[in-house]
Amino acid sequence: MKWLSLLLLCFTVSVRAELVFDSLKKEVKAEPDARKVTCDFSFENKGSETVHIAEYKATCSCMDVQVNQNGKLTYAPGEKGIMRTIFDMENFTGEVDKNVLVWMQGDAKEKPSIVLTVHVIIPVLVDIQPRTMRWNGPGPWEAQTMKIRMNHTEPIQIVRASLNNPCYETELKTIEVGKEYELIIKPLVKPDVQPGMGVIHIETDCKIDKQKKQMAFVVVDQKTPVPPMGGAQLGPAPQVDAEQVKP
Amino acid sequence: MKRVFSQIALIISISLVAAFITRAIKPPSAPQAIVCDQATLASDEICLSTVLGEWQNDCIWVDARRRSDWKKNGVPGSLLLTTADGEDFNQLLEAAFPTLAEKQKRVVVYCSDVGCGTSREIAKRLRDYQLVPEVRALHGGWMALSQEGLVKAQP
Repeated sequence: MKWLSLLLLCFTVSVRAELVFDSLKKEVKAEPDARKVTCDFSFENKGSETVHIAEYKATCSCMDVQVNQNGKLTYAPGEKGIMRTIFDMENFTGEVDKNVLVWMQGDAKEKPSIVLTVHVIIPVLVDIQPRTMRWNGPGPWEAQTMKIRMNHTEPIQIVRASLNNPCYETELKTIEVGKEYELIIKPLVKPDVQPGMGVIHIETDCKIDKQKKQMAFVVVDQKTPVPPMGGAQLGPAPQVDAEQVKP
Repeated sequence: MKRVFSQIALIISISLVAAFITRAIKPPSAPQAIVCDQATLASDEICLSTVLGEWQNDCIWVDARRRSDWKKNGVPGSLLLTTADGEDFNQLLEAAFPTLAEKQKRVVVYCSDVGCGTSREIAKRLRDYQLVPEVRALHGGWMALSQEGLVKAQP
């Protein structure tokens, strides 16, 4: 009777084979001009059963995943392998997380048993603070300063800074050539015209294409009074690109 | 001994009947439910239940998936902001800027599912621009929205 119960228990308890990775999250520091970065995840079958990788894929088309030995997917106990991720940095800057999903045999489609994360740090060479300038309430409005710092071994100069709204006054100041700049912005009080919002395009001579052009925003929000001195006025209706908003 | 075998046969029979009933009620192809646990939720994420309950769905939805997926079954009224397929994030953000700046609502970014990290990346980029009061990535992404019937069924 005892051996029969044990046998039944063996049938009901599933034996889960283990594929153990050296780490589930790895950090990679990329050179600012690098096109691609590679990150390897090594793994080992530490279980007592042979395991089979049913599927693996990156969640971004910018990442390619390769398994060693021409994509070997079956691993006997104690066998080791390497999963290589190759991240195409395209127009990425700053800190980026990219995932690789790994389904072992028997995993539900919605739930891969292993999620690997590559945390890529790409230096931000042109740092702009703040990226959005906001004025609340009715005018007149005070000027505000946007600080632009270059974080590179070589100097980076601003070639052009433009704002696509004539209701703002801008002045670019050089604090240190190739290193630090200030963009002073002030919404203008014009009869019958509200400043509304605008986009600032900053073009630099940075040799790395993806960091050459920068963007920032300005907004005058007259609906939010600080402090309320009178009736707030509505700004012009925003023009939304029809292609960009889903109906 | 004979009694033991008859009991086993009975248990197997009951299990088989139960299995057939389960299959009839919930076919095996049905997607697994997305579970959002507030206790283990990352600080930059949000559960759909919070968006629909506490936030009363008063937010701007941002789709971080591929353009083709957004067109096919994105949340109605959502904005496309993504880096997938080499899309130019800055160009998309410039187009979305008037809506984001004017509405001044909280933003919820979604990608395809739990494992997809694009929504968190897009949320971080948006936060860096300080355009809107709050930006969160939706836990469970499009799968969670589909589960609640907020988007068209086909992924």
